[in-house]
Amino acid sequence: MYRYDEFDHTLVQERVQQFRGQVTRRLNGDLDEEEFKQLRLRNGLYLQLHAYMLRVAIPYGTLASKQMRKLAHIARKYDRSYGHFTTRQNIQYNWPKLVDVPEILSELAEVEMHAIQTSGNCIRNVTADHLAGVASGEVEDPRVYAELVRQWSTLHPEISWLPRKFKIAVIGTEEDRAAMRVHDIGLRIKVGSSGETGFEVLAGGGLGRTPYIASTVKDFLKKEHLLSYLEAILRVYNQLGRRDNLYKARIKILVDSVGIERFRTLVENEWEKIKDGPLTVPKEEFTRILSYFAPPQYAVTGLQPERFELEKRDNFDFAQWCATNVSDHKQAGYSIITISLKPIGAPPGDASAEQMDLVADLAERFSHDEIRVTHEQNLVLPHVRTDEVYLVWKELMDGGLATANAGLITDMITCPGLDYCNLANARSIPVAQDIAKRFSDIEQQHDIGEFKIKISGCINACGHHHVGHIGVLGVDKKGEEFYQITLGGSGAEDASLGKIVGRAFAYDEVVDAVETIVDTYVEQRESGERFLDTYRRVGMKPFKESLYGTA
Amino acid sequence: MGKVATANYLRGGEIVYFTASHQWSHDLEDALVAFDDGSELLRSASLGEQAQIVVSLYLIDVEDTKDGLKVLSQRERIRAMGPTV
Repeated sequence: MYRYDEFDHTLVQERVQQFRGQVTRRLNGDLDEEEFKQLRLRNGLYLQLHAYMLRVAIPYGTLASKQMRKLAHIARKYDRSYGHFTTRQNIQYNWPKLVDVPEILSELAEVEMHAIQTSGNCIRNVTADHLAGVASGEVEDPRVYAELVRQWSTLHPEISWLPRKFKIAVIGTEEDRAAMRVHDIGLRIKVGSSGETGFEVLAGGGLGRTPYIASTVKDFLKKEHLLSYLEAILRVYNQLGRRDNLYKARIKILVDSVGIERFRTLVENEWEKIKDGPLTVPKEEFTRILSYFAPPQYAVTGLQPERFELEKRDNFDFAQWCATNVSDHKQAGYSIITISLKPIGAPPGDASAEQMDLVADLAERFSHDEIRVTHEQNLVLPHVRTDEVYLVWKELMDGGLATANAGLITDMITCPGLDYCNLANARSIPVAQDIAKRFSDIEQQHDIGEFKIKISGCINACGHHHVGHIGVLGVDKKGEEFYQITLGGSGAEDASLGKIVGRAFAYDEVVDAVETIVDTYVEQRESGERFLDTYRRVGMKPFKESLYGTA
Repeated sequence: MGKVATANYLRGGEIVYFTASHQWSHDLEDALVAFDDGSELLRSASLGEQAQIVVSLYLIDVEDTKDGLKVLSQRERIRAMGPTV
C-alpha cells in the first residue's frame, strides 16, 4: 500500500497546524463565518442539518487495518460511535464538534490520513475500482495512477479554485465498478494497438441536476502523458467553465455546450504547449509508486480450497452468503469478500466503531492488512485465503456484518437525505430501510437477481439515482416529501441514464411502487435476464401500465 | 403562526433556539415566539452570532398549539427531533 513520503508528512502536519490556528481565530472572532467557511471546507468540514460533518479522505478506497482502527477510535471518542461510508469511497462523521476537529485531524495524520480536498471546488478524492489489483482481466492496478493524480492535484494552485468540484475515477478492466462514465474525468487503463499500456480518457460525465454519460476525449493516451493531458483538460475547463452559474459550472456542461469535437481540439491545442514538459512522468516514478501497490506474498502451498466447498455444502447460510459476497481472486486459492454495510433495516453505508474494529482485525488476520471501501458503500477484504473464508464469515456473523446481499435489491446506494443533509428535500434512508424490509426474504432477493436501486434526497444526486436500475429521487411538493422514480439507469460499463416513469409517489407509496416494478419485471423477464436487460428489451410501457394503469 | 430563531452552536454545532431570556436552548419549547415579521427577533438573536456563540442563524415558522410549539416544515421537524432513522 502507498506510504506517505516526507512531502506528504510535512504537508499534512502543516495543514493540521494551520487549521488549528484558523479554528482558534474563528472562536475568538478574528474570522467571521463567511471567511471561515472557505477554510473549513478546504478541510472537509461542513455544517449540516444537526451538526458539523467531517469527511475524511480514503484515497482510492484503500485502507490498512491501523487506519480503520483509527477511524473507529475517532467515531468512539469524538462522534456517536459510528461513521458513514460514501460513494467517493470516503468516510463521514455526522456529529463532530468544531472544537475537536483540529485534534481529530491530528490523530488522522498519525496514520497518514486527512480531510484535504474532500470538499470545495477542487479535485476530490480520486476513486478507483474497489477490486484494483485483485480483479481478473485487469490490465494494471488503477490505484497507481489514482495515486499519481492525487500527488499532482493535491494543493495544485492552478486547480485549487475551479469553477466547481471535480471528480476523477480510474479503472483497469473492461468492467466498470467505479461508475467511471459519470465522472468529470474517467480513465480506463487499456492496451494500445502497439501492445503498450495507456489510457482511454473520458470527460464530461456527471450526475446532479443535468446528468451526462462521459464522452471519450482521447482513445489512447500514453502513460507518461497522463498528468500533462489532465492538466490540459483542467486548463480548458478553468478558462471556459461557467463561473457565473452554479448549475452550469461543471465540466459536463462545457463539454455538452461546445461539443466533444471542439472540446477535444481545445484540449489538444492546450496539450501541445505542455506535452513533453516537466509534467511528463518519468519511468522511475511509475516504478516507485508501483512498488507500493505490489501484491502481497500469497501462499502457494498448503492451500485447501476443497475445504471451502465442503463448508458450503454443509452450511446453507454460508453458501448463500458466498453466492453474493465472495468472488474470485486472480490468485488461485484466494477469494475476495464483500462485507455488506446494508443490513436489512439499517442506514446504508453506516458502520459502528465496533464493526470497524472487527473489520480491521479480520483484515489483519486474514486479508494481508488491507481493506477497500466500495463506491456502493460496502467494504471489501481483498486477499482472503479461500480455505479461511468460512472463519471470516463466522466472525462477520457475530459482528452483524454477514448480510448476504451484495449486488442484490437490498444493496442500495443511499445519500444521507433530509435526516442529515442541509441540501436535501426529502428523506432517503428510511425509504431504503422500508424497501429493504419489503424484500428481506433472501430467497426472493436471489430470485430477483442483480438489482441496483439508488436513492437521492435531492437533485444533487449524491445517491446516484440517475444510474440506478431503479432510481428514486426525493422532491419537495408544497412541504410534502414526494419521490420520482426512474428506470433503466446503469453506472457500469453499459452506462445509461434512467428515464422518469411517471408522476411522483408520496412517501408511503414508494415501497409499493418499487414492488410493482419488480413484480412486472419478474412477469416479463426471459431466462437469465437481469431487470436492466428486461427493461431494455420491453421498454417503459409495461412498467408504466402496472404503476398507473392503462387509461 | 409565529416565528422562532434557530441556529447551531459555533463550538459544537448543536441545534439551538433563541429564548425569551435571550439565551440559547436545545429545546424548541423554550423558544421565544414572535408573532410579527420576526425582524426584531432576528436582530436580538444575531447578537449571538456577533458574540461567536452561534452560527447559521435563521427564522422558522411555528404554530403555537395546545400541545406546545410545532414547527411547520419537515426539515425543521427533523432538526428539532433528530434523524428519523
